[in-house]
Amino acid sequence: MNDERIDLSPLDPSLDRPRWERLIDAIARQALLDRRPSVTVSAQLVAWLRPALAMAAGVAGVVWLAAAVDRPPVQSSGIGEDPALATAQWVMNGDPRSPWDLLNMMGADHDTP
Amino acid sequence: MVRKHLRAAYSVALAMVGRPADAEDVAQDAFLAAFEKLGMCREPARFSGWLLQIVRNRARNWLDRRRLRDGTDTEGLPAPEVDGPRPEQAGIRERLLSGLALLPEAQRMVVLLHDLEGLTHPEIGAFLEISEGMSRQHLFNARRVLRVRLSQDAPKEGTS
Repeated sequence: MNDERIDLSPLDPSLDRPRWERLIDAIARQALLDRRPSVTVSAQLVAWLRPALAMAAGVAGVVWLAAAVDRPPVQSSGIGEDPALATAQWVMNGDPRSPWDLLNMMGADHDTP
Repeated sequence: MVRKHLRAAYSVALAMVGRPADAEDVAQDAFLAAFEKLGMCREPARFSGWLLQIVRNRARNWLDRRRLRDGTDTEGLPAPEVDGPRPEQAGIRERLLSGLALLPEAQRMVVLLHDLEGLTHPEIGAFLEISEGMSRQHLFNARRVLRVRLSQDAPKEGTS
């Protein structure tokens, strides 16, 4: 007796077709708006971070390469080298040098008496 | 997707908040929340149940806000408001809403999902986390109350 379905169709919101369609449209439109990416300052900075880092790394590489190409060749005269190492090489090679050479290698001015 | 699931979402919301206009707001709010968290729905086949759980949560939040706003602590539903498009059915609609307001929430939910939305008892039981037998019991009791309510308020024949 109580198994008979109650007619609840007056409560069916989809019977008011225009209103129902407006509700569906409103939900779909709002959902699309919500899915748009946010354009806050912090979000934009984060978005720019990776390309900015990549560009900085590229510039650093170019600068390093240019510096390496322009670097003057290292002189093997002993000037500018490690004094201790150069002196040791002189001794081991039996290559006697003058005191002037020694002073020069140590970085003394040429004008020093 | 909205078209397919909105009426079920509306039915759940109506069972909880009572007023059709409020139920539309809750259903809309729940849909937007669901779309926002769509990645969390691990089983697309169960989207409907997942969505209806969101509707329930949103409706509970909505009821909490209403209690705070109105300063009341009652669980009852507000007086139904009829804003339907069919004047000839406005009386029936109002009586149905007032009848539903007499029911406990679980019975409202079951009768709306079964008799309006067409869900089966296993589906309702799974959604409400109750047994199929309990779902049938709720439906039986809800229909009994609604029939009494409708017969009491029905306009007498021959009266204008």
